Amino acid sequence: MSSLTSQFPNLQQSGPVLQVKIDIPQVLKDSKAVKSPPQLPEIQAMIDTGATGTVIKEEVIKSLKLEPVGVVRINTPSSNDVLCNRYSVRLLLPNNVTVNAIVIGAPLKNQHIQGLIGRDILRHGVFIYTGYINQFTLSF
Amino acid sequence: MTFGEFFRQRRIALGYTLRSFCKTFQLDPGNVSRLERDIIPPSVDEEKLAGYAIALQIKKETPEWVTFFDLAHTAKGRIPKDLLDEKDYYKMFPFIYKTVRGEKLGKEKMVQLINLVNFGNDTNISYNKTMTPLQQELKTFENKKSELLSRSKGKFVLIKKEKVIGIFETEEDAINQGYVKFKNTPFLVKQILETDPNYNFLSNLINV
Repeated sequence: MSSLTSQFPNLQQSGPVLQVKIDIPQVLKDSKAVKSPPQLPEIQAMIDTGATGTVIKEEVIKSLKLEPVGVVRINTPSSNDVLCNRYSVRLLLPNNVTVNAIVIGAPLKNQHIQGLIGRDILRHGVFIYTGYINQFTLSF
Repeated sequence: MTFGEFFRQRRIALGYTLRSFCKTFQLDPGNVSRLERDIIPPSVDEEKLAGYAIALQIKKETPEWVTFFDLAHTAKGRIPKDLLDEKDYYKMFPFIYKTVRGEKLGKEKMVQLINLVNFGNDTNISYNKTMTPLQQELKTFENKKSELLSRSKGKFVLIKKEKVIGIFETEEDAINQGYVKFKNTPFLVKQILETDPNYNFLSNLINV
């Protein structure tokens, strides 16, 4: 089981955030249709148990030149039934944890958070939020 | 029939006087009276109209409900939102305007218009090249949905343009096959379900 643990000075303030690199899916790499960029885009993503799926900022997806493989309708506190594209990606989490995921491309308001890790990824693992020592652990 | 006439007829059919109707639903009698006489147009705010419709006991998703909303939009000189949202209807408007103005349509356009009115879609309509990726594939899914549901409910379909490429047990298999066949071009992988579940987000970070 691969696992990563992060500790923050104030976990309540920062939230459970991770540095995540985004890469194109392996099958696409093998087909040589698209090359990974020399420098993979790296984002700050927050683990969000209130999100059905994982979301990555649209600009980040665009930088990989990936085309959509599906769509999904989403509901947010301010809007309902918004159709968004889905993209197949590889998420490279710290500690060499790699996850294949189909993520939603959407604009995000926050400058510092460029992704939300949703329950589609959490369903494969164990997420432990240990608030009193400002630490969280994600294992797969 | 106008919106006002429709409103008045429904109210009277329910046995309300103007005063009793307004008292029951806490509405201003002066405003309702002006609405019924088509002196003022109704609001096209969905919530307000739905409130009136419920007061008049018009059930949702019935022809009366659609008529009520259509008449309200007509009174206001607006196009109903559901038509504005539907690209195929929207692009037929110029032909409808031409017909209303007495200009002749070509045979092909006339067939398209008849199909649109009769069936709600028209397979002869060429797909708009400016459509966002996957609109065409979504349309193909809708056209073949009942057939797909009857034989492969719950499985995953791979669609490219107007073609169903295959049915797969898992989403991953369907996507991998899509990449093998079409490389990095848009294709649609979709679970075959009666109704697609929406994804919910409690966070307000998503700016859509």
